[in-house]
Amino acid sequence: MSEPIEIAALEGTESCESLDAVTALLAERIARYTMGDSTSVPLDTAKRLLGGMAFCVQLHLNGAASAVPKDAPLKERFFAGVAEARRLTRRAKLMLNEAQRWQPPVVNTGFLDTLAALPSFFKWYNAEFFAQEIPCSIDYPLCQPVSDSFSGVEYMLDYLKRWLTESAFLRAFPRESLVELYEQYYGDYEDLLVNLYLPAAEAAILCALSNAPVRALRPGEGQHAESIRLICAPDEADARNAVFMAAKRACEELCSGSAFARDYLEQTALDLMVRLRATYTAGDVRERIHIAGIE
Amino acid sequence: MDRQSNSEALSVREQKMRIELDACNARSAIFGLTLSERGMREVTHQRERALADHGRVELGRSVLPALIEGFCDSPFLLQEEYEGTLLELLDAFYYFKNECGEQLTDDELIAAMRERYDAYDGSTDAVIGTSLEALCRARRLGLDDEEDLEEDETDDVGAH
Repeated sequence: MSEPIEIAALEGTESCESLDAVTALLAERIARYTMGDSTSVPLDTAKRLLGGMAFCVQLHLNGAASAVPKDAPLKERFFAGVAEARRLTRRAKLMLNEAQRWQPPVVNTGFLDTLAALPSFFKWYNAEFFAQEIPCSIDYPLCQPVSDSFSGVEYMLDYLKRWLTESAFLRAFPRESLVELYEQYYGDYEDLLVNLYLPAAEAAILCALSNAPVRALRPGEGQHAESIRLICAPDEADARNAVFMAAKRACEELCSGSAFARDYLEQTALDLMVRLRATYTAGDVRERIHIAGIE
Repeated sequence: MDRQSNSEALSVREQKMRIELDACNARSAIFGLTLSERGMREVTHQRERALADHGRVELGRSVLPALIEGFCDSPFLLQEEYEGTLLELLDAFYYFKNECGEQLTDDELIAAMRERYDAYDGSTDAVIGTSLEALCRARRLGLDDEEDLEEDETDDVGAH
């Protein structure tokens, strides 16, 4: 026997909906989805429709300005959420156009495959029935991944925002420097499903830490040792402050002005600091060799 | 949404079903077919069971009126076996609905079941014991009983 449908899924929203209102809206959604051809749907379809309802109601609730008040009947708030999902979809499409137009000087197969797959999201995304779903394959790993709490068009928006941030950062470097860096960092960077931002960001932070030119992406031997010394400072607060300052300097030198781009690089710098401190404390030889590769 | 609210919602649905079935009785009475009080309750409960067993959700109007409408003028459907037949057809309907992967509308599926039912002189076993493919092929090609039977002997792999 199948498990019962979780009508209580909408209880996750801030206002706990009445069972009658949820049932009535789900019945209306089922009727609209089947276009009168069927009185019933499989349980999975009903769950997906319910998920779409919950997503849109939450989207309306999170939205800043809407003509529909937060205490309006469920159906009105749901359709306001659908309208919001469509608005966000249009915005995401503009961001995709930008991602297609402004690519980094060096790309790999994973990057290009994902860029080619992203338009299918806009072809298949169904804000009215399944707004919580992401109907396309997204393989390219970002340096700072999208939070698991996002779904549907919210996920796509955040993914594209991070994608554009990474692409803009990479466009600040000469192609030859990036190729040389990737070959040292990954080897076969073209065919591996690897992130292109991470090596450049880490190299830029190491350069900035030792006051080497950031665009060169290659700190000298002494400069590299200085960077490691700062990152592995006995007081973690000092190290944290040093990498934040380095991220800020790198952003200034590369003219990456947006607050999000700065935060993104700062988070990457912090991750690098944690990893290097752990590595050098533990004396991991392999990691030392790996770091040496970006000198 | 507590258990009490759930049982209240169920009760509302039962009341809706009762209204639908009363209307069906008025229509099927023309052909000498009516559901008793007990029969209506049984059909209502069987519908809930069948939906749960086949993993389907039906929140708005029920398919029962369409099913009754589709079969009530069959010359092979008699009052003595009306309730039992309806219960079997209802279960088979949801089964085939899943089998067809939502490719058939309710009306198309009911029409296919009805043709099979009449072709076998009012045998619910013939409807239940066939495959969706044979059910639809018979309707599409208008095969007579013998041809249909021969095909079923070889093709009824996914029989109910």
